[in-house]
Amino acid sequence: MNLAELKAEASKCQFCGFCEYACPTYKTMRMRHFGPRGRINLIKNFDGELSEAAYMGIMTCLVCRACDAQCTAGIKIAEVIHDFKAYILEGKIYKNKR
Amino acid sequence: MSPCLADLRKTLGEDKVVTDPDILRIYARDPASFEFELPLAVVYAESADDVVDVVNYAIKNKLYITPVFHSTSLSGNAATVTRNTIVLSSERMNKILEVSDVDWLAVVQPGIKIDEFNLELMRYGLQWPVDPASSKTASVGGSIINGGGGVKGAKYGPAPHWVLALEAVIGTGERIRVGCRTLKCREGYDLLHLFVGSEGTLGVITEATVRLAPLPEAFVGIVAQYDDIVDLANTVVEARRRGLWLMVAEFMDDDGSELVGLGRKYTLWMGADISAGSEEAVLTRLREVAERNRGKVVAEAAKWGISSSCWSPGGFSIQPR
Repeated sequence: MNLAELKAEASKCQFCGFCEYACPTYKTMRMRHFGPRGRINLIKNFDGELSEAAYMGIMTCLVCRACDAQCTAGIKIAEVIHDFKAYILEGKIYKNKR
Repeated sequence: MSPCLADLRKTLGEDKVVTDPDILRIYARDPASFEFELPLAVVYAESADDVVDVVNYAIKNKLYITPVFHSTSLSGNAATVTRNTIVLSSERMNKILEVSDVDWLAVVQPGIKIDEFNLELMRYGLQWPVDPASSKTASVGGSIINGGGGVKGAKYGPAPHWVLALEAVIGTGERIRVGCRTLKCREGYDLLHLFVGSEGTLGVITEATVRLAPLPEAFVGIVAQYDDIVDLANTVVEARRRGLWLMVAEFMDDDGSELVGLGRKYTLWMGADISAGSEEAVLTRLREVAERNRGKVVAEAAKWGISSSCWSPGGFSIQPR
C-alpha cells in the first residue's frame, strides 16, 4: 500500500481498542502507542514527520497479526503497520519531530 | 516542556511522563470522537502514590487532570476537553491483589481489563458479571466510574451492583476509602455510590473491591424475529412472568436488523444462565414464549459460545432451526 492507501485504511479505525487485548507488545508496555490502536492512529494522524516515541511504537510491532482477527472494522492492521515501517525504512519520513 | 512537567518527570521517573505531541493526540480522544484539546502530558501511574504525586502537582501548578483507563467510552468521558490538562492513565495499574472464593470478592487495581480479570477468575469458578460490550478492552475501574453495564445486564445489572469499596485520591491529594468489604455496609452516607458514575469528577480510583458471582454451569438462548415490536416486548414480559430469569434480553429494531443483514424485522436475543442438565427444558420454554407472541425463532444456542456467534451477522448458519 502507498501512503495514501495506508492512511485511508487507518482512517477506518473506530478507536474501540479491541485489538489491544491480543497484542503482545501492548501487554508488555501498557502504553497506547505500543498497541495496534495507537499505531494505527499514529499512521492516521501522520503529517510527514514522526516523533521519537511514535517511531518506537511503530517499529516495535512484531507483525504477529493477532490484532487483525480482533478488528471490528476489518482493518488490515498488521499489513498497514508493516507497510508503514517499510515507508520509514525507505527514508521517506523525517524522524524526531518535536 | 514546561518547568512543572520537568519536575513531574523528575518525581515520577522518565518513563512515566510522555509529552511527545504524536502520543498526546492518541490520548486526547475516545471512540466518541468528541472535539478535544491536546493535553500537556500523559502520565502513566503505577501506584496510588504516583496518583497522589500527580494530583499534588496539578494543584500546585493549577492544571486539570483527565483520568483515563482504556478510553472505550462512547460518550466522550475519556476525552480531554480542557486546556492545561494532564492525562492520568491507569493502564499500568492492572494487578489483581486478592481473590476470595469464600466471600466472593476481589481487590484489584482499576486499570485491569474486564476480560483479563474474568480470565483469571475462571480459575476460581467465579466471574465479575459487569459486561459492557467492550469488556475485551474496557477496564474494571472505568466501568465503575462510568456506571457501565451491558449484555448480561438483564440479570446482573450494571457496575454499581458489583462494587463493594473503592480507594480514591481526591482533589486535595488525600487518599480516601469509601464502602466496605462486606455486603452488609449500611452505616452512614453511601459515598461509594456517589463515586460510581462520577466520571472521575470526585477523584481518581486507585483500588476497587468488587463483588463476584459464580460462573454459570450452562447457558441457553434463542434469537427470534418479529413483525411487531409490541410482540417482541411482550415476549420478554411473559418470560419474566413465567419465572424465566433472563440473563440476556437484547433487541435490535428493524433498521438495525436490516443494516447488519438480519432482514427487516425486529430481532430479539434472549437467554438464561442455568444449571447443567436443564438446557433442553429451558430452551423449550424460551421457544414457547417467543412463538406464543408471534415470534419466529431463527437460531438457538445450547451454550454461551454458540450464542455469541448466533447474534453476529451471518452467525445464524451455526445452529439454525
